[in-house]
Amino acid sequence: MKDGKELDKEIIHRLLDGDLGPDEKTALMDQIQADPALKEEFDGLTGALHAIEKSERMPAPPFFTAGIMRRLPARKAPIGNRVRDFLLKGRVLRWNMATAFAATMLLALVFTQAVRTRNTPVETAAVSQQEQTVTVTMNLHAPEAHQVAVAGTFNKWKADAHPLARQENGLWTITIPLKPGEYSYMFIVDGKAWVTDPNAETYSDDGFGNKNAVMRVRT
Amino acid sequence: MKRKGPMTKGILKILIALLLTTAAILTTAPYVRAEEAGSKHLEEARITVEKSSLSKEAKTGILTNADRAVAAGIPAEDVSIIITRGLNQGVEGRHIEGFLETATRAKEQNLPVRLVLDRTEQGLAKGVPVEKISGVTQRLFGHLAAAKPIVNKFESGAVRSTRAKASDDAVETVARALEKSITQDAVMKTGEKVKDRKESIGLFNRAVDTMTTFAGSGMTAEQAAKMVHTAVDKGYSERDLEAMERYMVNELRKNRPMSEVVSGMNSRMERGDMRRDMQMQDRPGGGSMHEPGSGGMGGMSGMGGRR
Repeated sequence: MKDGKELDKEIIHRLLDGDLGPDEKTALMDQIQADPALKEEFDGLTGALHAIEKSERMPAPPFFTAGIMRRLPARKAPIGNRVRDFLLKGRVLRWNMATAFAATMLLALVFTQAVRTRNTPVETAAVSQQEQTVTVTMNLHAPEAHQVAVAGTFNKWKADAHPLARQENGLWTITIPLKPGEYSYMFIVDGKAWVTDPNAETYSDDGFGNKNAVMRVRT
Repeated sequence: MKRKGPMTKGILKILIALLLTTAAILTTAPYVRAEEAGSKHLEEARITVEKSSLSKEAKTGILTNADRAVAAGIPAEDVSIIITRGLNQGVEGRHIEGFLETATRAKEQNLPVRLVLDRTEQGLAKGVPVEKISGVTQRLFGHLAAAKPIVNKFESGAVRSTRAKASDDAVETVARALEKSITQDAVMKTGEKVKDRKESIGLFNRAVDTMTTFAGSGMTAEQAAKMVHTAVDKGYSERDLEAMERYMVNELRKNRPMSEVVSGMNSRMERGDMRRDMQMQDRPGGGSMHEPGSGGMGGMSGMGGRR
């Protein structure tokens, strides 16, 4: 139950809110003038109102709304609405320099990889396939030779990179791992005579009037 | 709601930083390694040049051309091989400069340079006269330049290859075909036939290569082109074309004249027996290619092949 003072204060609040009629307003103003305590209450409230009206409007801090909304208890919406909101609803992203730096690095990484992939369209796949090596054995029957080596496109024609080992029957042999592909090669006998493998799979001109043996290595 | 403490946030940041650093290292490591290897090769070449008896001007000329070649994108290992092999063979500085110049020009014109480098390195290794190497590589450069638009024309509207560097391989293959006097028309006709079959550049490459092998084995360019075109029309695959090459090589090993081999292959293709005969010959014991001593050379008999 409200007493007389409480009722007066409530009427003052209604007056300040502009809710009183002209007669009620006049009667209340007379009452305020007659009662010093009520007048003090009225003056205080009026002063506070003036102070608020005169004060500068402070802008809300960034992400204030998003922060408030995030703290509100989640309300279960229908799944359709949630999907629509997820796809279409505007968002406020919080960021700082560290996040921006990380995002930039990630983008740079993705861009670099994309450029490399574009320049070599299927190189990754091709390399992984080519990284499997196949063991290839090459032989030359040369009983009178003192040393035999093989040079070709697989070793950039280095005459001393792949020497063959002599077997008892005059057969020279070497086993080397090669990636799948097509290779031209020749044997070098005693360090000077370039000899075409007489039993090669096929042959190609070396461009200088001789024939290279051709070997096709498949997985 | 439970909030992350400052410690958790700190650890998270460190983890992200480590992850990014690792990714950066993994991305750049291959380039760094390649750069180091390239520097090593160039340094070796530089030392060889400095130690050589060439004049100061010749040394400067070689090193300037070497730097330009590497800057153009030629692998430093190849530059080093050409310089060191050339100097070891007593090749004059101007010729070494010329070899590097030809390769650099090819690279600068966006042509595949592997074949030019291979010919130069091969010629030097085999002791071929430098004037001959120079002539061969310069003509090859011209053929590569002529081959590029042919391959580009084929590739427009053709089935895309899934193989890396298929286009570069095709340019080199066409250049080698032109080198063997196979006409541009014959090559382009091959491309049209491959396109008609909705096949990729792989088959085009193989068909032109087979044509070159045939022409290099004694067939006329016209005979080689006609035979390969027939094979492509009949739906031969890359493997079939390779088998055709082996078949021809084996027939020649039997000392049959090329004219007889050509007519035999043509009539077999017409009858549709070619594929069956090639398969029979490729079976173990089906032909003479694995028999030891089947083809002597310079007093030596060979047993080449692979397993």
